[in-house]
Amino acid sequence: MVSIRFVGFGGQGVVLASTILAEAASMEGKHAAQSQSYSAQVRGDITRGDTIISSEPIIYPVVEKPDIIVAMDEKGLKKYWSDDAVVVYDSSLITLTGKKEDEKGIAANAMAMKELSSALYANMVLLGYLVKETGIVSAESVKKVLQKHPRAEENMKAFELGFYQ
Amino acid sequence: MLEFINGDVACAEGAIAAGCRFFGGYPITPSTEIAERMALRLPQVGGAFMQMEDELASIMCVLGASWAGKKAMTATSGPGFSLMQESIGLAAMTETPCVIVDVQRAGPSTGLPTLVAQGDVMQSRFGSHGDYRTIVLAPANAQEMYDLTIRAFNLSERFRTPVIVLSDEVCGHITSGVDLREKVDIENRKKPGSSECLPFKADEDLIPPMAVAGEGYRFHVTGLTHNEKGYPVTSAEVQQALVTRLVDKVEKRKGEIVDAEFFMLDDADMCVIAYGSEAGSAKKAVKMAREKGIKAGLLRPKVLWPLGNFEDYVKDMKKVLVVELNSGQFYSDAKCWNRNTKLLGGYGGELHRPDDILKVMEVF
Repeated sequence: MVSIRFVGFGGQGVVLASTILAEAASMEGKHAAQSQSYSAQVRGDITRGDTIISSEPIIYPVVEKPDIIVAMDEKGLKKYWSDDAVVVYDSSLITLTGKKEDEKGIAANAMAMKELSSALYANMVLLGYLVKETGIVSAESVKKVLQKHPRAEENMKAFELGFYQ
Repeated sequence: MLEFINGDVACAEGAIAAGCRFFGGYPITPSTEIAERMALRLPQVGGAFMQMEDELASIMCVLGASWAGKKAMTATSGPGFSLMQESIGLAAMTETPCVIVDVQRAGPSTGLPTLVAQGDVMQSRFGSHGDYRTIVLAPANAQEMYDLTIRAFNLSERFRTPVIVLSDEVCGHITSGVDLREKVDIENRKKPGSSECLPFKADEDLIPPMAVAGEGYRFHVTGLTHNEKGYPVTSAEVQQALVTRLVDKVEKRKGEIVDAEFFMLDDADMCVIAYGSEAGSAKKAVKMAREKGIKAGLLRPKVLWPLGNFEDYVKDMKKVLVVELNSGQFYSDAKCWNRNTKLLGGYGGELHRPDDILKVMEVF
């Protein structure tokens, strides 16, 4: 079983990224469940998306101890920090102490702004980087899921920016 | 066909599969995705979606659609569910089949709009004034949002009564693989056979056939106490006979309705009772307890009301623990089955963690 917790603030696409990852795993024949927690505001405040991927059916959908934290924002990362988790984070928005060996940073927000002129795609850059670094699912599975979503072309490009970084 | 969708979307797909062709509603978190999906899907299958000005109007147009012969539903959350209560009583009194989905969030009042709770258990049972019985189903995951919504329509058609799908935020928002079944058993309401129709004269099964407006029958529908023709009568005898039948048609036939999951109970001496998305936490805690040598099992009602005869399963247990996200709305009945019954309650915001349930089990 792998537990991945995406954290950030409302509007960054935290929940969407975790859902796409879960669907890609489901497409590969694994059991996958995605759950979430967010505030009543459309934008802002801490948001979390939990993805659990398992060979067994998932009876409790909330991540208890994340194996991986994907962080898009410092406030969210602080709230959900776990010493035992690998941290994949947006280094253009978050500064980590460097004490942790398994920190993996990518300037997702800056790359999305530069290449696609919008921070909207930072989540897909991070997802691409996560998939490359961990191999939880194949890039092909993620791309198949992305094809079903609006702005598939831009999202695909953002995903590849992270994946081939 | 396995689709990767959330519980709310699964609920909408279940409704379509069951033959629902009308949705009237007012969006509210965390039920909004049901309305969104129905707005997309109903026109594709020849149905109608109507967004109303509020929840009072939403439930009323659902009742109207039902009398026009359509299977009809609405979906809401706690604050909207409160507003609908008066007309849920009207649906019970007029024996109008309809499905109301309440995706619970934390309250009272507007509470925590985006976070889970189970505070509407009693409101789903006795929320409207007067005496009546509702049927309340409690799905525990996205798959059951699909399956139990189908069942809700079938029960409402069979019993001519409002049926409530009492979901919650986690259940509505969890996204996972859902099997949209190729073959679904569908039930339809009885219709009158002859042109002489007494619209509220029940058959032996306690259910009157239901005439549909526009099909040529003369009938009258009212929330006032009424005779078999449907006309108001101010009489204790008629009231007694009518409401007795409204209660009996659910209570006396509850064997057809009640359903539950029994997990590891055969050799258990501790029974955990949980329902809805809390059942996932409880089931995991039971598995962890077994690993520690605690002989625990889980009783998960899939139908909350009418109340099943669960006493037989529970009375000989050494310990019973009810886990729910309220102050004991199901516990108040469950504690009558066994003297040594405890409550692990809460007010919502997040599910109980399996670890926390296990801790309570260990010191029980």
